Amino acid sequence: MSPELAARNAPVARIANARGVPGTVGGLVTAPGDGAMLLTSHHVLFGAGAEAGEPVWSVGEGEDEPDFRRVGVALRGRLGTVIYMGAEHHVDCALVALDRASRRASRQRALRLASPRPPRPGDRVFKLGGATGATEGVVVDVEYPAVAELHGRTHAAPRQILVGALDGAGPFSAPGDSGAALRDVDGAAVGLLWGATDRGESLACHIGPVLDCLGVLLTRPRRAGPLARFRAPTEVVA
Amino acid sequence: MADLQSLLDATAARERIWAIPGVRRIGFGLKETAGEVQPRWVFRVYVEAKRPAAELQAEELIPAEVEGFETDVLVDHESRPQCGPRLYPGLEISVYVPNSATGSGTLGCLVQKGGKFSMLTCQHVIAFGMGSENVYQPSRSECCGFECSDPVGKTGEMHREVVTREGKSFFVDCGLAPLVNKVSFENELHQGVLDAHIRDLSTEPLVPGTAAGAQGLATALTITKEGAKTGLTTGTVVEVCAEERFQSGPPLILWRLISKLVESSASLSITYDVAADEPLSIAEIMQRFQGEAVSATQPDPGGHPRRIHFEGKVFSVPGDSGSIWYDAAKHAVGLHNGGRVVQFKADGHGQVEVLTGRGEACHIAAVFSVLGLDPNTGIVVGAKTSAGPIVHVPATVPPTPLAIERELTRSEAGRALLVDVRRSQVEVRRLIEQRRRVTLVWHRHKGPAFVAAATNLGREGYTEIPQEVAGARAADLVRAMLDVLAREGSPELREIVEGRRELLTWLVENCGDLEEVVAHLEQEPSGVA
Repeated sequence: MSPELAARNAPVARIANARGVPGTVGGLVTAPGDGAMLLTSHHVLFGAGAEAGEPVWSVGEGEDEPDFRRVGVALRGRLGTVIYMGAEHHVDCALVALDRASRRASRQRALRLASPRPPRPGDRVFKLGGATGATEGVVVDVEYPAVAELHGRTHAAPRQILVGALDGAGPFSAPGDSGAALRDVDGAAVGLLWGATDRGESLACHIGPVLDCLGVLLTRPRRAGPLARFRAPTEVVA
Repeated sequence: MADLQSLLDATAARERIWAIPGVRRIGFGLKETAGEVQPRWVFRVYVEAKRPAAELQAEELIPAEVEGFETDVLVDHESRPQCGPRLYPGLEISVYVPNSATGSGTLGCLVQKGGKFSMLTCQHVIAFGMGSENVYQPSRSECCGFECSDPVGKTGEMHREVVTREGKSFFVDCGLAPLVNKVSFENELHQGVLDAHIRDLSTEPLVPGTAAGAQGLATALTITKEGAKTGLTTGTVVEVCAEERFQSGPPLILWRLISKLVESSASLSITYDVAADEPLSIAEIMQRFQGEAVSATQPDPGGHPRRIHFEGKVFSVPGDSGSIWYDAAKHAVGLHNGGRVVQFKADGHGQVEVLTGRGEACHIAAVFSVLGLDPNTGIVVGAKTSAGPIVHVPATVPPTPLAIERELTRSEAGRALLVDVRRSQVEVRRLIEQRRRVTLVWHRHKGPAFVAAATNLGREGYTEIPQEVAGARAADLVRAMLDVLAREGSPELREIVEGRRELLTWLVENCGDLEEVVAHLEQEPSGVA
């Protein structure tokens, strides 16, 4: 397969659902029997009334306007509170079932990550988002009691990762970054970005409950190439 | 005249109504005419939509009366369960303790402490029972003797005392009611969202007040409160502390906020006859209302010299306790805990308290301090998801033959292939339909099934090439068809088949979809793999 073809079929960082809600791909995940899928936020994949089975588009940079390419369909997700390791966690996560061509491209490059470990306050973290690109921040809280909109109403969103921007730097995230993976300095995913507080800090759900409730494993590309955007952001921001 | 029982007994009438096409429900209730409820029991006949009588068939018309019972035709609406309460500042909350007293007040705002969300209010609003009592919004309700409303919280930590903070004595009257039952909540005020940061007025520049020891803010501050009873009222903070004398000990400078009414829609209008044994004179009572929002006048000095009428607007009334005072930037500055009053004895009422119109609040910084709330993160702030603004994505349309052709023409090899397809497609179709040997090969290798599968995928927006259908492989179909067309076709078709055999075989074996075909043709100018 030619590199160009692989590049076209490869999952890309920016996606939009069938109703035009844009977001970011957090990474490749696999589940027994399901092959590779894309991980993103529930409110991105199912936002504005989008339903399972509807197409998901990668959003590339076109000459005059965005270049849309279909990568798969909305599969399933979870938005709300789940019990993980005996504690309540809010999650906002969903999966894209890749079309065959995209699946084939990802399969050749996918490799399981080591088990994610929980972040700690003060840790440096990174993300690669569709809106703000690669940014670096610092974990403020790992059990932050956030609030989140659920079915049009605001509810408690327990145990979230609160990420602050570094001094002098711009915001850690902005609209369009939802779904981006929050990664530690070793490149391991520790969270999935979904929002920001009214104070401006970014909010991410822990990766553990996300992978657990979706029944998937996180994967990452083995080598540089079209999927390098999913590699550890440390390499991107250097 | 009909009543409920007669409607319930009139089964024959109801059967007649049910026989009318379009009837969805028959209610037993009162007649509604032009939006007004009439005191007449009728059959309320529900239909999906009302239509002019001229558009209805004779059998669809609902008579105005059926077997002596009036009817009322209404549109049937879907029923949806109502969600639980949504909590926000300014709502009435109450504590219910079985066989004991109940209290009510205002939900000040939502706060978080140690990951737990709570309602902030006054201690005297929730200090009932033995602790951890149910808190309702607005109040506990019963149906047929059974509780039919879920509590929204439980009474928790509370304080009503004087606390010392940074050398100052603050009066605090505050309490937390942790949320239960997964209620929805947000710090949404009438005029926006409560700011995440509180404002400590005790640390701001002060100027001496009029009373001994009293101090006010150097810069006048207008505040707003949202009380459960009086709603939105505004006032000016006229005092942040005052020297007060208690039963024992020396005078103490006590820090609490006093506001003078600026605007309110809550009114007070009441008349009392001051008791003869009241120590205060009529003049003294009236003098205490001078300069206040509530005025005191003698309506009949000649006939009833001890009668006083009180009239005016008030900042708050009982039931507003617990509400937050906030400034123009929505920073919380105080927790409303009462209104200033003048007390006296009145004939027929005993000891009465008449509001002057001023409000009183605890400094919010002291409240946060005594409750262990973080001034920076204690107030619950909202969150917004980070999906971007909606973009215009392509509609999901099947890849049309024209679109496929357009893709193929992107390369020289593709254009050449298209020319051969156009040259041969009429003959190939004719051979499949009319030449038995070709037809047999086409059907034996599931040619129609492959066409149907590709069409179905195309309808869903896919350009995939079905590799296997009903046990047959696409590669086998292509190979067999190339063989039979080479045998049965015209010399021109045979030439095309032989010229394209290698390419077509490679494409079907190696490409999963149209994009891969196009990419290969772009990569291989000759078109040969």
